[in-house]
Amino acid sequence: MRITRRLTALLLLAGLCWSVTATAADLEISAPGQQTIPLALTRFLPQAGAPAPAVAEELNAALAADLDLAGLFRFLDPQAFLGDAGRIGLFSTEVDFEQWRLLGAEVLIKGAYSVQGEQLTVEARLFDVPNGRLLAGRRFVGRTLDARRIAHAFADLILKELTGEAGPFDARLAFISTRSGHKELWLMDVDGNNPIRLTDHRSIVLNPDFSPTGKELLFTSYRAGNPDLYRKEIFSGSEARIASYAGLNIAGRYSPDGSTVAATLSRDGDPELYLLARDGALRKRLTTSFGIDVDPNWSPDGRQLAFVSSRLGSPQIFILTLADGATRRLTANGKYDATPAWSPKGDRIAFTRQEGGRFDIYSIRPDGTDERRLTFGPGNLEHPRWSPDGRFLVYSSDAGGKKTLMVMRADGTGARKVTAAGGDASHPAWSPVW
Amino acid sequence: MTAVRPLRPSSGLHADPRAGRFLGAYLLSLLLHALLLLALTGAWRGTVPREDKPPVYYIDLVHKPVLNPQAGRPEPRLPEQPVPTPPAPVASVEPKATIPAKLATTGKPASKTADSHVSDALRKLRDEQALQQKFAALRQAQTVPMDTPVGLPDAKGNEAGISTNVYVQATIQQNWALSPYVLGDPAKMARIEAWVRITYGKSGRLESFRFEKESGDTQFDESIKRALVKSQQLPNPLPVRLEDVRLIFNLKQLNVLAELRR
Repeated sequence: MRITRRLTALLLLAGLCWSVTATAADLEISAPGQQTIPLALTRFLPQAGAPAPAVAEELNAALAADLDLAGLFRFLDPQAFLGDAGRIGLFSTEVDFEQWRLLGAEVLIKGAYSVQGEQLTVEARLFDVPNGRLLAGRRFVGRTLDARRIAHAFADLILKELTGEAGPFDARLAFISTRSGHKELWLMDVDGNNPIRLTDHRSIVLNPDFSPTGKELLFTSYRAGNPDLYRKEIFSGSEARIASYAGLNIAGRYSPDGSTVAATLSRDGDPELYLLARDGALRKRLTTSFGIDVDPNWSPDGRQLAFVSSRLGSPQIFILTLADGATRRLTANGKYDATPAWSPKGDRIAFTRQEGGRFDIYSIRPDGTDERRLTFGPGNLEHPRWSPDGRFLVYSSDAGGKKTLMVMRADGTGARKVTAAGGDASHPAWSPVW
Repeated sequence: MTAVRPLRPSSGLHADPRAGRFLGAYLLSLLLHALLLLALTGAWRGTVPREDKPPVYYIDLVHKPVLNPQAGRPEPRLPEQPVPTPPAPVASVEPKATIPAKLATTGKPASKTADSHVSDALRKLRDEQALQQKFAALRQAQTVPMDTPVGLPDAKGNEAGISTNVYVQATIQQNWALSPYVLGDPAKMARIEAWVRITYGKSGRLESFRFEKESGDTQFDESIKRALVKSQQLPNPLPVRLEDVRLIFNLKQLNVLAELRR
């Protein structure tokens, strides 16, 4: 009897609990409520020595520009920052996370610098605000002139921490500029700062390409009267003409392992693709067709080449498999497609298409599907090249009359100008991260 | 001599003629009252008086979790609109312009310019009328009835608000920040998914969460953790304890949007 009573009481209690607990169910959240991460970027503060507002300004500006281009973040308005923004706080115990939570920040960047003579030391930190913990931090030591470079390196580190893949900002852009009066090879930071002239051929230099290590450049120059292929070591400055066959020696591209070079030569009459050794020695003729075969571009695995051919009439993109020499047509929708660039991730090939007398940039999967138009003018947008992480494209634009370089995300958003004033700039190439 | 009335049974209704008149008046009054009642309630027409449901004008879908949310429609139901009549087709033969009297008397043909002016004016008038008709139809279509009930489409309760599950789901989703650029690869975005078991107390406090299935992408999982930490205290208490609910995080909606953008 007692057992029955207890059992009844238990059942009643269970029933009561059931009545005030929601039943278990699956709730699906199929998209984030915010597609950008709320970021608080505080001003870098002087840690020791005299304040150097110009240095702090450069650090903040370069970092903000890089992170803005990345497209991941929504910057919180610095006007709304509370007292913690005025404190250095390089350790999580020193940061008042509650203030940042109040502002809705999800990640917080804090930093401090000290200038002693020409030496600049920067301490930079990335914090996870909801969890109140340090995500990444690094001390950078350099010259005061390196402030922007330090900011680029930290931006790369932030992307590495938040996406699992480092950014491409601490790299260089090689390009052709007429700033000196001739078409010469130049090098500059990804944001257009610190331009340096690398050649003095006083002729026409074209089509640069970085070696996989980023220490060498291939380019074509008319210095000796003929379009020949040159190789240049960036740090030593030494330069060699590696291919000077009769006719064209153009559009040299290092293979992904850096052991060979694909280029267009017209030594046999028709411009065809050839495989060369690093020193220019001829290894193999790759194409034999009626019409021009130019602009080779390697797949990341080094097994295929995308190139432009007019074998069917108008210029179109084709893909050549090196193992068996098989060739297939990639693009079929345009009348004039050129300058293919295979993404380092291997998933897409960017190219230019002329329509209505104007060039725009497109991308397509290597199997020929999912063609997308990335740009819609104005002007001619040409020579797309990928960033080493495949997130961005750099290209040239003649909108406004003068040729400039532009950078945009791989989906065509966030386009911005990167070259400084002075002369035309074209034929960009993005180096690996140094 | 006093006349003696015969005795009549006092209990009979017809015993007294005054009593009969009173009864008649009473019945008449009853009948009139009944008729009045019928007239007022409308029952004489054979209809049953209906209890009108009070209209609901507004429910805060985010800040009011309730146990038994009421039904409604996600969007107001619009009254059926008559299809606007298309403008009359323009006659293929242009109407003739009235010939000015002076020209008619002189016998000279009417100038082409005058004809074209009139026909242009008529065409403009017709176009304007057609446009006005379209505007009127649009205005009518955009008029939302004020007593439209709003609530959850599948709810069956009677409380103004949303269900606990939907409230928790919406709050966590709002706190989940993840850029598509974090993952980058569309193929990866299409298949990525993580399952998390959560328990919320009645106070709206997140009591526990554990990953039942990780996505395999550190950044994706980290973003979910941040969203849950941000949602550890809901803005409002819950009507019930939410125990061991499985949250499924994926990017299906983003993929659909990406497809649509192409």
